Amino acid sequence: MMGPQVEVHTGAQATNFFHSVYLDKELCIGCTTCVRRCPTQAIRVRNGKAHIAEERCIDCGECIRTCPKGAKKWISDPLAVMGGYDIKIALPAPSLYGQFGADTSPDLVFMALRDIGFDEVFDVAWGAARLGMATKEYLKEAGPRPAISSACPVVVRLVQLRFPSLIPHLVHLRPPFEIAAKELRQRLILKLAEAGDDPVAGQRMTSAEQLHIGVFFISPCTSKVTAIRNPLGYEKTEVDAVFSFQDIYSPLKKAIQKRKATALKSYSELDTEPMFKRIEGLGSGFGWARSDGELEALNVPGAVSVDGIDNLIALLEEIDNGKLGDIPYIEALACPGGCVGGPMVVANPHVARTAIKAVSVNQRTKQGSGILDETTGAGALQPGCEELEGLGWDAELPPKPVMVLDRDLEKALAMAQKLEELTAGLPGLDCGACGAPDCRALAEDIVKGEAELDDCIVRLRKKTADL
Amino acid sequence: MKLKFTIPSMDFSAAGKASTEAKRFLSRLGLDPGLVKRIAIAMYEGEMNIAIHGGGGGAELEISPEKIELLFKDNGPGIADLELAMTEGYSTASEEVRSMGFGAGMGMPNMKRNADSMDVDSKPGAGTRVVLVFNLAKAEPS
Repeated sequence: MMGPQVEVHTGAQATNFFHSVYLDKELCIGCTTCVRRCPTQAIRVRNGKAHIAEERCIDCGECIRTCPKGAKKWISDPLAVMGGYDIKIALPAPSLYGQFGADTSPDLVFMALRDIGFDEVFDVAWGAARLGMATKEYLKEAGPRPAISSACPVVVRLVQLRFPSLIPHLVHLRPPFEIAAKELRQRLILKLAEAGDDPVAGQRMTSAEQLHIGVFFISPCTSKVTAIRNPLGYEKTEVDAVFSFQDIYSPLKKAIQKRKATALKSYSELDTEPMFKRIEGLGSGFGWARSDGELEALNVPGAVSVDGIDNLIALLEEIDNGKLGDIPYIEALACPGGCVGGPMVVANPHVARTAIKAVSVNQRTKQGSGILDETTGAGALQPGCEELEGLGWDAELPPKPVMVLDRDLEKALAMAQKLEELTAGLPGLDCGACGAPDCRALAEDIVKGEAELDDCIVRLRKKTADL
Repeated sequence: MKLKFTIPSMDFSAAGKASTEAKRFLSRLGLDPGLVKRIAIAMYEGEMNIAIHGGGGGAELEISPEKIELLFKDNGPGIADLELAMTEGYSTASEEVRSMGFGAGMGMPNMKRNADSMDVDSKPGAGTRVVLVFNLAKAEPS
């Protein structure tokens, strides 16, 4: 499904791993801030510069958030890729609507997206609302508890790497953006077929199958840029490219200001009829932009919400110890506050959180609980939307044993023994001055032949003093 | 190779520390995730038993290519009625401990359920010694 690619430079593309997160060597001063914050201990400072171990990176963006020099960056698709498609569809993440303040209505954002070059807009909030309904159904089936939401790709990758025994706990359903993209493509084909009867529009639509349809996800987070390259739990993505909030912010903001200056306040007054009018009443879907929103949509008694990578790890650790089995469901979001706190956002996450709350409440009251697609007058989320058909995973999610010392157990045991001995002999300050996150990680690097004992400055200083 | 853990008495802030450390160690060996989880659960339960009932003590994790042996030792009051102690839901934990969400009477049964074999040696006044064995025969490095 990947469309024309604009060449983007990333060190990560030199290998089999694609990563959205990368290091700008020019800006890195080797301070080890990121090294100690990385949840998978994927970063080391060697020769004064940070290095990311690609097999360990889960693209959470924690290092982007914490780097004091802005040396940790991301790759997302440049807006220019749109040029290669005949029909351009914007797939805005729910959190996009919280980026422009509470006085900017979703309608304005919707119209502005069309103004900057998208032919149509389809909300990821629709996918979230549908996933919410399907998850309720999914939870009726027996399975290991708590079930853990898989909507956040960082959570899925973290489980794969650090908590492989929890893979069966993950909800085996696709993330909201994939569900929305799939639905959109199906609807688009139907619309194009209908339009084929129209003598004017028909001109454009005669060969729908020859049209190059571009589906562009506008995302707050790096992990989703990676997720369309390496889908987790399913074979094929329906998304062609991922744009970051930061890249789209400036043109979109300008278009919003322009719209605000005119009297036109509703899309119903648009001169060109959009194919997908705004799907109103997706309040529950918009709520997924922030922590707790998923739980509010699901309304499962006893379900728990966790956000922020450290809190997430602490909770997964407890589940991994066989605890918390009485909790039915966990809303798990790696970023603080949920997607509004993503590494590629512009607005302050706390401000965006309040703005998106207002959006979800407004959207909900507008149509009550009835979720309508105005184009057809039929319910967009009709009976049947709770069905799992087509939403489930279709690929295996294997554990990623990247922490394993050696594939041979006896060799691994010998190395582990050495690792313990070395750790005992290190100062235990976990100062990070050697370039590893803690003393144990240095010991591990030594055992693997990637570092030396003399990399420990504290120990070296003592050694020199003893001489 | 052997790993040793010290388990303090009634220190609930340290609850799960030994289990987490053991898990981190085992994850280096490429063992089956299901097996690692079984060991972690048994470790956690043993750890909590020693903290709650044993007045503190220690644990040893011994790993060989054939099996993993988990030994718990405490100097607590010992178990008066082992059969009762192995019954699900039976607990001698104090009201205070229960009010903190522990002492549900699942510790010993959970240890037994997760291990391939369990051996308990305890007499009132002489402390408790529990040996759990996890076979590695079928667990291929993944």
